[in-house]
Amino acid sequence: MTAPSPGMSASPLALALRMSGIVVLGLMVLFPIYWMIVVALTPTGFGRQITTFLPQTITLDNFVSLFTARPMARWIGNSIIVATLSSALSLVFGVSCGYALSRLRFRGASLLLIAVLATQMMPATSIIVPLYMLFRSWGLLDTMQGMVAGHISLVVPLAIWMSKGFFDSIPRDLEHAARIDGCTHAGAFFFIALPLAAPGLAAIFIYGFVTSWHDFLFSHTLVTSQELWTAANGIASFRGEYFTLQEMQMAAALVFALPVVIVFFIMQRWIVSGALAGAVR
Amino acid sequence: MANVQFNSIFKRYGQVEVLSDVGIDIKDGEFVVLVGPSGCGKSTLLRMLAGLETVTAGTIAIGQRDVTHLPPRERDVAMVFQNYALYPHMTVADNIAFPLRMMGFAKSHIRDQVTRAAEMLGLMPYLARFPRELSGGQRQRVAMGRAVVREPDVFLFDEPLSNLDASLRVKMRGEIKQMHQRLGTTMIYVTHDQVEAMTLGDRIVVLRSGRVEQIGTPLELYNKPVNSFVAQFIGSPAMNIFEARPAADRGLAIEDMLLTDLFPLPHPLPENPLLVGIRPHDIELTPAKTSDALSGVVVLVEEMGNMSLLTVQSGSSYVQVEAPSPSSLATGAPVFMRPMKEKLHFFTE
Ligand SMILES: Nc1ncnc2c1ncn2[C@@H]1O[C@H](COP(=O)(O)OP(=O)(O)OP(=O)(O)O)[C@@H](O)[C@H]1O
Ligand SMILES: [Mg+2]
Repeated sequence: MTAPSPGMSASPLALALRMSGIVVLGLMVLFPIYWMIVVALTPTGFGRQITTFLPQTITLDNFVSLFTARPMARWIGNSIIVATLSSALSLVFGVSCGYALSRLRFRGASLLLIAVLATQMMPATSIIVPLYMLFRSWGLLDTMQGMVAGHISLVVPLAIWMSKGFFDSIPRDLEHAARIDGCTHAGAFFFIALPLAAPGLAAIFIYGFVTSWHDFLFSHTLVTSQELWTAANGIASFRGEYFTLQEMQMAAALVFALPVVIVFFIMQRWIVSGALAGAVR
Repeated sequence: MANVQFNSIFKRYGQVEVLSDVGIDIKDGEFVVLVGPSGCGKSTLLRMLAGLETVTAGTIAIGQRDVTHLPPRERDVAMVFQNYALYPHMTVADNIAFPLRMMGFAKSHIRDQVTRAAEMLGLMPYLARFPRELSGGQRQRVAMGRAVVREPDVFLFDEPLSNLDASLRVKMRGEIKQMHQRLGTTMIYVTHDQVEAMTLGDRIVVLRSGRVEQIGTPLELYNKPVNSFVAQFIGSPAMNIFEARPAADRGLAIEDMLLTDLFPLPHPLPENPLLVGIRPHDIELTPAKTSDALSGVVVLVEEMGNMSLLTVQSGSSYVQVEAPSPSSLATGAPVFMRPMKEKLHFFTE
């Protein structure tokens, strides 16, 4: 009897089982997306009549009317503005707080960190009510700024924690060396710590962008005017009280997914491991 | 080029006193080694000089300037860290150029200086590489290059060689010594390796638990240690220290050995404890027991090649003795050891 050597599959049967497992998992993940595409390509109103796995008649009308009959472009534009602004500002807040928490020793630092995390543990639904009342008295309801501020409040806590973690992983001696080499505190941060944290910052940006992009609750509650809707609101509007425009909603969902994918592909080249290799020892 | 003065330096972290009343006067162009056991405050002292740690009390001067409260960049010192602290996102050339860039020199000047430093350290083939693509020894050189290129007033080294293997350490030690001879810049070098301290230093500062125990040239420390701590710290293998009892005829008794007619014995004899030190190679083995010899039993034989180091148990003491190699004595053999009277050291602490 020979023991199976590591790296070699034990038997064709096990291999087949493993492969079919992967295929099934893959189908479970990919099929809904495939079905979205099928429905989106079906003429409006015929989505429920599809009987095969393939679309019977293919049309791009849904996509066209998204941008002609509905202000989809506007909604996407709003989403891009809100998501970009809120994740960029969250990044600025997160990085400055995270850096301070990582580098400065002060009384109550750990308490502060826990408090920051605690805000993240509140469900968004419970935060939205006081936020609504605050924004009403500040005149921020139904404004773009208000929505950006709301999304920042969603993203910043984790952004602080993540950036603290990234800065913690950068040896302090690098900044010490920079300060001896002629940098101010700020110079050491900008020339050394910030570039080395770049992969982490990209990850925080993606997280912020996706959170803001996918948010429905805040934008739905804080904004009423249709011209300020984000894409998430727009997609929801295809669902009426009695009747849902499934085909257009699926088309909108596909359009909706695209910018996130693009942002991810742009940012991912920053997310490389081993940026710190060779620094110390 | 500058002298460096530590004036009565104290450092406290909360309640913990890490350095107390440290005063060191370093001459322009001198190579001073700070040495002491782990945790004695060597790095802290060096980092205070660099401006990376605040000073609790006391002043530090470089040249004629009081730098106690200046930020690091205004002190004109360069430092080589134990872990090298190379900027991982910059090439070797950019690492070396960084201090010059921060000082605002022209591009062409920077390029010339980087080339000069790289040639001196044999780094020319690696200028375009990143630190992660270098060996430990090469990284060490880059860290030195980054320090040299600035032509600072003072060089600081914090255990720069402790991450290298033994042979590379000896090689780099030589290069640092040569660098000092060529540049003539004041250098302060932290190590806990007493061989490094002896070979590199013009003067050595021995620290223990945040206090200066002794400052002197390597030979002064070796020949005239002020206390048993310095005596055991400097020199390898370490000096044997015994507690001695006073005896008649200006004599001392140690275990079963009686030494008489001792000069110069402190007079009057200090109260207990009176400590007597003798280095392992200042002890002779004798074939028979005499009154001025210690008897004991060999418990360990270590062959060093040029000599063999015997550890001998005598009463409650363990004594290290150098003997010719190869040793004819095996573990368990009885031996008699006679210290050379003129090589004895006397300490009260
Ligand atoms: N931030 C700090 N807070 C409290 N104590 C500290 C701090 N930094 C250092 N110490 C203490 O100060 C003492 C001296 O530390 P230092 O790093 O100077 O030692 P060292 O002589 O360089 O030792 P080694 O040879 O191990 O590097 C140590 O006992 C250490 O525990
Ligand atoms: Mg140290």
